[in-house]
Amino acid sequence: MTVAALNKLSALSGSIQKSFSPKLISVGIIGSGNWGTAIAKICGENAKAHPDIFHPQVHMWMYEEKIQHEGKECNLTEVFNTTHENVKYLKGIKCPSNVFANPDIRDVGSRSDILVWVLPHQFVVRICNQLKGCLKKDAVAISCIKGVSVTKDRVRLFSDIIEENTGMYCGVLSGANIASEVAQEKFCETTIGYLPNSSVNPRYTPKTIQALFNRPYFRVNIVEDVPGVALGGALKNIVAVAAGIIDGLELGDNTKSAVMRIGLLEMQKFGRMFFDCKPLTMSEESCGIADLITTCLGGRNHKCAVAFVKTGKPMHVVEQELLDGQKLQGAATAKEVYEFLDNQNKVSEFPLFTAVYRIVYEGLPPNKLLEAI
Amino acid sequence: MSGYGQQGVSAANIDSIRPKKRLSIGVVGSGNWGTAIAKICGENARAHGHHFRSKVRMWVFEEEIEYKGEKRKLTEVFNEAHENVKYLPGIECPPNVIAVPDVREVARRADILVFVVPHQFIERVCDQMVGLIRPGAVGISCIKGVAVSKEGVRLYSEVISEKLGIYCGVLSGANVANEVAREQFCETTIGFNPPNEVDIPREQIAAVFDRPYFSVVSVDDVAGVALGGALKNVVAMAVGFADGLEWGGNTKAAIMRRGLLEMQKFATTFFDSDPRTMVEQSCGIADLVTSCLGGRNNRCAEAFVKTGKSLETLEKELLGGQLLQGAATSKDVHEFLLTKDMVKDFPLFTAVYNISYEDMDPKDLIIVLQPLKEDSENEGGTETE
Repeated sequence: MTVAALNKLSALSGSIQKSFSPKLISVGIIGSGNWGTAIAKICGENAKAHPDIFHPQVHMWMYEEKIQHEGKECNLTEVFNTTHENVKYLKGIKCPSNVFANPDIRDVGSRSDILVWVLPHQFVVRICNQLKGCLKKDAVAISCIKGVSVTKDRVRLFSDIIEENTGMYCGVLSGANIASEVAQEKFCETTIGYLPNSSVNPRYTPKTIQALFNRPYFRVNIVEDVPGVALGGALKNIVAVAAGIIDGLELGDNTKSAVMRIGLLEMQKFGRMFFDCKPLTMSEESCGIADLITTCLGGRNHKCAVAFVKTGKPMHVVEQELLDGQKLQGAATAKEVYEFLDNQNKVSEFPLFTAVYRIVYEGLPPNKLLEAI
Repeated sequence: MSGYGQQGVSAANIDSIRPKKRLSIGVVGSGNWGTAIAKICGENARAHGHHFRSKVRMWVFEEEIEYKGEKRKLTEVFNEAHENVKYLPGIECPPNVIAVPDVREVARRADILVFVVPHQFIERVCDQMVGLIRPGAVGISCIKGVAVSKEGVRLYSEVISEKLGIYCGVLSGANVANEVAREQFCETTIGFNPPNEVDIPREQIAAVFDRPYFSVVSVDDVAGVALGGALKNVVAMAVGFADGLEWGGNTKAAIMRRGLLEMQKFATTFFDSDPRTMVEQSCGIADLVTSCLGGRNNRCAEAFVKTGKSLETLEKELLGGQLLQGAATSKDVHEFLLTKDMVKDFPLFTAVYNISYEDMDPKDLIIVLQPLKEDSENEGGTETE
């Protein structure tokens, strides 16, 4: 055998080994609403872009439903797998062909090394229970569920809930992102909080996680402050309601900026007081300052708060009219946070959050917001 | 109400401080911002009689105006009507604010001199005041921005300090003169960090300006406060370009965040600035947001993209010939960074300069937001078999 032939055989052997390496990471997406589908698109693109890291196929769990498509009744998963478009929840956006819609959530769970959670928070516990017993031993998770779970006694991250119910380590992704804009590849940034402990398989490095989500139009910054990333996504909605109140009162941009700044500091303080968050997460990262800006300048929290002030209608009526009865996140979070702070005897230390609660739920006149803070 | 923030102090505790003497306040300048500031100082001189002499003298450059059908001197009209009918019409100042046409008299009688003149007049006005300043007097500069040249970046407070031999702090924040005058709530930041020989506590300086509708926090970081006022205009230009291109809210938020971090980096690299100032205080984050939401820099940049007209033309059409501050600052900053060989470290500021002066396509702003070379594409992401 010649040296040339030997080299060729060696190269071929390496190539074969790479193609079937058990080290390739399989990615699964739990959820296929607009945000879930936008995230699956990103993961699919990156699975193709990094064939040396990720298994080419990305499975997206899609709750099976019947839809009308081109005059026929079809399964949503079948339409997606044929057209690569989620015609119900993210119409007009083509996903890469390596994203596969899978109606069997346990199959998605059992296949995945990295499980990305993108579903409404009220379904988290139920879905965790469905996945029990079928997850890979050293799989990890990333939660893209914005916000936190607040009760009177405690504030819990959804990533913590996922960890407790599945045994997986779970990081958090949050930032100034709107699903439809991300899907249209409009530039934005996001933050991932990821701080694995020593029990996490070292193959899931921060750089690997970044490679899964980072695109030219979706820039990812990884930080260690997991609670800070999660809290940013929740608390900003309260501040957005306050900014909307200022706009409803037509008090001008300087007043609104002041309220945003004060709100940012309360977000920081809350994170530091109850989670030992790093203060700079809120003030420097996309999940803090940029998401706050985006949410305060537009979005439903802001819009509903403006309408609440201008119409004088109670918030539940505004919710009915503008959100088709869906709950306004900022108002709900303000209530939960208020009840938690009341329980902790810390209400007086968070005057802006408290004022939003009192205006929305206790009839405090909106023009008292500035006096209260 | 008190100001927020881990940094700094407010005027909240002023009444617990026993004053060594009652200080006299003088305001140098009487444009709309100067008059709005004088109104605040006058209100506070009355509200804190133990700390301040009642009379606040405001230097008014003497000019003749038409008032109720007659030619009158502006100072006389002001002292009679307590309204600056030319530069801040419709706003009544408290009667203890006195218009004085002789800047030397204001200088001679003041313990706290508040400078609110256009920056191009600073040196000339200071020249008239040399030798007349009271021992122990201090200054506060409300002149937004900084003077940038190839030799360096100078704060206007430093110019005042050198000319007059006094310590001078800075006031800057998310403030618009007309809104402040109408008592619409906003906040501001004072940078005040005097040497030991200055005998005036920070709380007393804060009390000169703090009102229920004008909330003051005083921090040590004089440079950060001054730079915030200048650099935010560059970022406002970038956001205006994005508006012109009809980019979404998330993209603009990303620009603001990157811009804020470049502001912070500039301040901490070339001055001993506290990194928290930009990201936590009114002179940083709040002023940036306000400027990016509207304001002339933002509007002109948007028009620049939409109309294709030159900035010179837009300055004439939209600003009555006044200089567009954000573009001018981006040029100054660029030339300064060239001398420091640090242009690459400030990609957003540089992009604003290139779009404004070097015919860079505004669409290419997106390239600044997407670094061409990235760590994860070259290391760590590839396993060796």
